Amino acid sequence: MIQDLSALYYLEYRQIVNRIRETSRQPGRALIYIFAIGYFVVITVLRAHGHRALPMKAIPEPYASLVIFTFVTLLGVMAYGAASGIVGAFSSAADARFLTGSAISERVVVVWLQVRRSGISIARMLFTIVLYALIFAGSGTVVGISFATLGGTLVATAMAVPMLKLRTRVGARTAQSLAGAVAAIGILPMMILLASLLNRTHTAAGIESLGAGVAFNALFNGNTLALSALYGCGVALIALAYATGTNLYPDLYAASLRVLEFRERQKRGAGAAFTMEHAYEHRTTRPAARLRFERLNGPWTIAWKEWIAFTRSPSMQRVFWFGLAACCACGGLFGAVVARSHDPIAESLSFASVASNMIVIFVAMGSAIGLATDLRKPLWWLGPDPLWMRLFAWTVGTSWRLAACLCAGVLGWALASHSAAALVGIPISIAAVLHLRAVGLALYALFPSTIDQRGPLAFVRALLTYILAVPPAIAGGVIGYAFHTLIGGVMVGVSAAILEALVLVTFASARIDGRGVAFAQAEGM
Amino acid sequence: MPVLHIGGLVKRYGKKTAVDGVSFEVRGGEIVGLLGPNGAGKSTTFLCAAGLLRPDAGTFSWEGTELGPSRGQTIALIPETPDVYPMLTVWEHMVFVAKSCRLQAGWEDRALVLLEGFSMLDQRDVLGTELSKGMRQKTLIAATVLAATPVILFDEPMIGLDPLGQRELREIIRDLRLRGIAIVISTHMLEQAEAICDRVVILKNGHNIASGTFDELQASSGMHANAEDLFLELTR
Repeated sequence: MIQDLSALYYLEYRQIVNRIRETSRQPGRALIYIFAIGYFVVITVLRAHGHRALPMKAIPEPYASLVIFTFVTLLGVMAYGAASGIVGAFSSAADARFLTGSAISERVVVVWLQVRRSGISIARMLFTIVLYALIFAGSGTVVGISFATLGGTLVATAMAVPMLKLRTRVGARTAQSLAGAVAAIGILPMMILLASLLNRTHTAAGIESLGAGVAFNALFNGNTLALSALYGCGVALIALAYATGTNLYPDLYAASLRVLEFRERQKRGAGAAFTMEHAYEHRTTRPAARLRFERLNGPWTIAWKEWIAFTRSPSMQRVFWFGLAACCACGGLFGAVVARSHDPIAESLSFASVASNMIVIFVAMGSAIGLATDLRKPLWWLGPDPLWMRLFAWTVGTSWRLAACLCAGVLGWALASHSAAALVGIPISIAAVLHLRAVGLALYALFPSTIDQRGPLAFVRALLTYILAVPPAIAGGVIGYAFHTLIGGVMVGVSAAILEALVLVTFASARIDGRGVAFAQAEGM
Repeated sequence: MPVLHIGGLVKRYGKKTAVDGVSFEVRGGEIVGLLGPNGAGKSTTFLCAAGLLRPDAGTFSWEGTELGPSRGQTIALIPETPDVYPMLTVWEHMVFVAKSCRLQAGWEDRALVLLEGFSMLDQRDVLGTELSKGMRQKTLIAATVLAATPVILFDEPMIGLDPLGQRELREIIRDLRLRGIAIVISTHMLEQAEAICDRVVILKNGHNIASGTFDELQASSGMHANAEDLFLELTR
């Protein structure tokens, strides 16, 4: 066992050392890491000891319980993914070849892969935890929020192997049903609690009395017992992975290949989910002539290409329609809550602020920009149009789905709150999504490595989005205030945001033009 | 002489049967060519043999001992795209193999001799990400030989190599044969197969349709054609 662990330690240690060495040879990349880590440390120290430390207050019900049940739902969804054979285990084909060919016990390898996956997820989370801490300012300690987030990540990732083993033992259907049951355990209370925002019921009060909200606040406040229980679950799942980690190599290999393929698609802006497997099996190949938007030409051919990819991928469509319905329902629910509030404007601003923060963080974290597949293809470079136009078309073509979901949320909000003024959120949402994607593209043009994008660059991307949102906000605010016109202010703000997005895309284009292959290669570094 | 025996291998992808009852043997110090048109089941056979794909049926044995799920320790696969760890140097690959395969003291000298034999000594501190395809292939072969893996499967090894690289690889494979390693090569390059393989096994639609030396195949088919014509006739 010691020899096995020593070999695995050597493998990871040398890779990390070599990666740090390679990164430090590129001062720009090194600077990003130093900046992100430095910012994290400074904020943590200031909030823990400095004069900026905020007084703690508990997150009220039903929101606290809602977070826990949302987490349970997420666990169910992730378990469903594992039950469907989608688990990120081997980092590459080389990883599979060397580890399966070694004399290291399969159980040890399986647990190592599991712990490594958790570790990578946790390392990626580190850079964004500080942003969580800012969002939930005053509702927990930095230590509590950090450890709770990391523990939650550990639990979420550690159940993959047991679920995969269950799949091989009892079949995919049974394993998926079990995962679905876990998701249902989260979804049902979640729906009841959400409904209680409109009408308080005894059922909702009963769910709140289960103590999920108390546990959530205890975790965020760094309660030792609560954190120990969370980490205990993570350790128990890892122990279960050790106990069940035999005769799993073929399944882990197949699952890893699927995840690697999924990541490649995700980098290209193709939304996918746990049903990706089915997307391949049931892929349709409808003739292009029957597709809509075939009249898009010139640089907009790129957007048309993205549209074709969407129409031919059932999983992308499922995710899109689910997102659209979920956003519309959430918008409607919170709109109804606001309509009953004594201070609707303050409530609206509060909800909009939390929602926009979440969107910025999750988009920055979850959507690394990847153009390698396109940049390597001669077809991409054949068009006579300037690169910035094609990149802008690509930005639009890969942004519209999220924009449509957010617009559906705003529409639901406006309808439920009977407020036509809320409709100004529609152009703001469209501009915000374009802006976010353009910021990502500009940073990609500076640091194309996917590893950077999933690490400190996600954090920088979120910060840069906030910073770049200031000029459009000021422009819109000044015009709106000076001329006493909400619509005028919004239009100016939105125009400024789109102009900024165009400038960012032009910047990215200037960096990428003529260096496509170099960028494609750097993406994997 | 030790023998790798693959018996009654079946692998289905949903309703499609990719490999249907394929059986063949390879002796230590022998090179067998696994030939067949695209979709014949060659890569699937290799993945099953290396323990990276779960077969629906079939047995794998080496020296009469049945190989279980961890048969990757006995049967190494060098895939068409020979992936190595991008952030490990060539030498670090050797160290990892030595540690993970629990090699006895003195492996360093053997590794150095191997790298020298593969003309890679000056590349020992180069990261995997900076290696050419040929060099990555050699790194994998060196790691496999260092670990004393008795069976090596090469999936389309010549694809993407320049003529010099192809010649070097042929020499390396012949050298592996002299070391007593059982080798199976999947290839579409029939002249290469004829030049290097002792025997060939021909697959079509997942079935084993012929096997033997080229002379035996010519005799059994009644054709005195070259390897390409013989292959096309058999797989028509």
